[in-house]
Amino acid sequence: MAKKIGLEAVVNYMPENVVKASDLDYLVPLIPPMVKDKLKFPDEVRRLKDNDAAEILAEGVSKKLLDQAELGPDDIDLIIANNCGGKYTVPMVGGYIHWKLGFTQDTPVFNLSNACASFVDACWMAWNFILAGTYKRILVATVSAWDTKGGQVRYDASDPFSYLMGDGAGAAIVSDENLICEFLAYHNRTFSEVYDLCGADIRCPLNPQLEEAAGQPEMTSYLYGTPEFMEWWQVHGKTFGIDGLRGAMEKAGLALADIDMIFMHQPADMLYTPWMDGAEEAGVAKEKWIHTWDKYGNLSNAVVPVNLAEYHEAGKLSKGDIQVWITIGAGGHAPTMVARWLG
Amino acid sequence: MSIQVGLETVVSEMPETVIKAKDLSYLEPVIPEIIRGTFRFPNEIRRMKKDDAAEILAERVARKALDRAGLGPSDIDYIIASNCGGRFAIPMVGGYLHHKLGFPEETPVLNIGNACASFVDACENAWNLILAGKYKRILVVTVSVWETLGGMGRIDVTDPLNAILGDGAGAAIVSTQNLKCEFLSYYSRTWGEVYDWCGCDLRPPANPGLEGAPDQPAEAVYLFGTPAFFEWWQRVGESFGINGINGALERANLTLSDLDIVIFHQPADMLYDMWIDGAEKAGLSKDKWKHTWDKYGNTANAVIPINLAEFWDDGELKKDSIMAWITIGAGGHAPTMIVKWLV
Repeated sequence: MAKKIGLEAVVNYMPENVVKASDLDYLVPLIPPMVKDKLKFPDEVRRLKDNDAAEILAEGVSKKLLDQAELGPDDIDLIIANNCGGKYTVPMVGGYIHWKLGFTQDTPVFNLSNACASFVDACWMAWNFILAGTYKRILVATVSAWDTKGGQVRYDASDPFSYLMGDGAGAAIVSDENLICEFLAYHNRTFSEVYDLCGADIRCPLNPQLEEAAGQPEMTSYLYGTPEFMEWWQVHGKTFGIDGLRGAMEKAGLALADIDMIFMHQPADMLYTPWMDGAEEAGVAKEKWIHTWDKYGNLSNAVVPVNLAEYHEAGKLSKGDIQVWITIGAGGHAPTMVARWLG
Repeated sequence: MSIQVGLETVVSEMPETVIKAKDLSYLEPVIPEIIRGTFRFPNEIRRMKKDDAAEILAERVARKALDRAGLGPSDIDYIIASNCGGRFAIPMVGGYLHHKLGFPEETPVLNIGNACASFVDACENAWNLILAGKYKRILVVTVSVWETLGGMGRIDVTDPLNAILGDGAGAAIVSTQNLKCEFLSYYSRTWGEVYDWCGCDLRPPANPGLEGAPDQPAEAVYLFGTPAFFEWWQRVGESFGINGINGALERANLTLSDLDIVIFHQPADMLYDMWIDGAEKAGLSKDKWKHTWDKYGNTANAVIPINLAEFWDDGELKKDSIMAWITIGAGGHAPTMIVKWLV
């Protein structure tokens, strides 16, 4: 019988500062005509306006995780980390977590860079490390921080698309002990044709003349998505979700009808709505898709653990539930996992 | 008996443009006092001055790896990639080579962000993915490019410490078949305390008015190393090499006397000389350390595969020789592997 591997704990760590959609009215006139009626700002996002925001959130979420699991740094034998946004392009925050929490020198750190797909890909990596017998308990930390100086990347306060991004962090422990959920399958798709169409590039703000967006750096690593990316999404939006669900459920030996909940990347409601529409046509009810769009916006790499933790704490996850985690990140990385909730 | 995993092939791809030490003489007046007398430029480095240099080299080196192994994209079931430097902060180049070489959609791509430690850490990851039974042949690609626009990081041509970085790419196929070398052990050390002392940050050039310097972007994601980093190096330099090697040899059930070759990260001769001196005091002969410092300079994440390919092509690697690969990257990631050359 295959070894059971999954999450021993999952937590989120959210900044207290709330930005409301009404604070973003100045951006409404700048919404491009092609998405004027479709793009809406989340009701709220969280923001930590601090150059060290990625480091602060990484440390906070990792400490909270260890506390919740009643474990110490000595109990962890590998760290996998990723930050989207942050003051440095290199290094990523894994080394910082290692240092601040006092991990032993022989605890390795792997920083991944699969953008919004990083949490699911990190879980897959951790799953395999444990299956191989090399490591036993792996800490996975993902941080989304957009109001830093922007060595890694920052949002552009003069670009309506950029303002969908929210700050927050999610972390989990992958192990084969005290499991609250069990991994059942991993299914990957790589849509690499989008490589040039979405990411973070050195550029100036989109609308530098905008008074309400004053205080932006003249030049930094700003997020961008090209019109071609939106066209690509138009073509793939309806099939993206259902194809990912089907592929992953098939690998788990399960049917679409077995799905109870879908935790998804929430890039923007106008972007994930086609996934839900396409899946509904194939018989997957819309209410199975779980999100916190209007509370947190696009949390990039941290969406899945933030939402898992939120629903877990709220008692909304039931024993035996079959969950699907589906994401897509810049570069076209699109992993999907199937998990059974045990907690 | 555990499964034998190692490299099926390893190749390098170097730009043709050669920069000579004398071309960098304009930087001599700004060499910091603290290292004047010990710091020197490599005799030569390679450079590809193009915004797409990371993508060009990634594609070329990946094709070369497949050609040399007599394989096609359908023979590879996983890709691990890393680029140091490049026009985007996000995404890294894994998706690009997936696209350009026509890999199937289901082939996953993992981009790893452990800076100069990325090749060795990618090999450890690939080793475990194969041991876990999920994949059979994994393409590992590492690219170092420093004269792009600088989304990921670029050199500051007004900073002498930056001028020692060279462009180049290395790639390998990790598998269980037709092995040229076998992995024997992996040993990691993490010095998380260096997190803030070395990396890539958004900043202006160090010496913007420097006479003789080529034009620089006024603000870009430039490489940096702080005085605190060099002080730290003074403290750990002599023990870094020998402790890493001994730790890895112990895990391979070997001793220092079994070691034939050390292939190592070559950040700067004034930095790695300390490793060699410290190891010599412990009984490891200086002539076992092989490098290409005066030919390629610091090629970051790509040093190990570039040098392996070079020494293999030159006939310097002998059947059954035991080698150590030792690296350190920004963030304090310092993995070491012990490998047996088989051909």
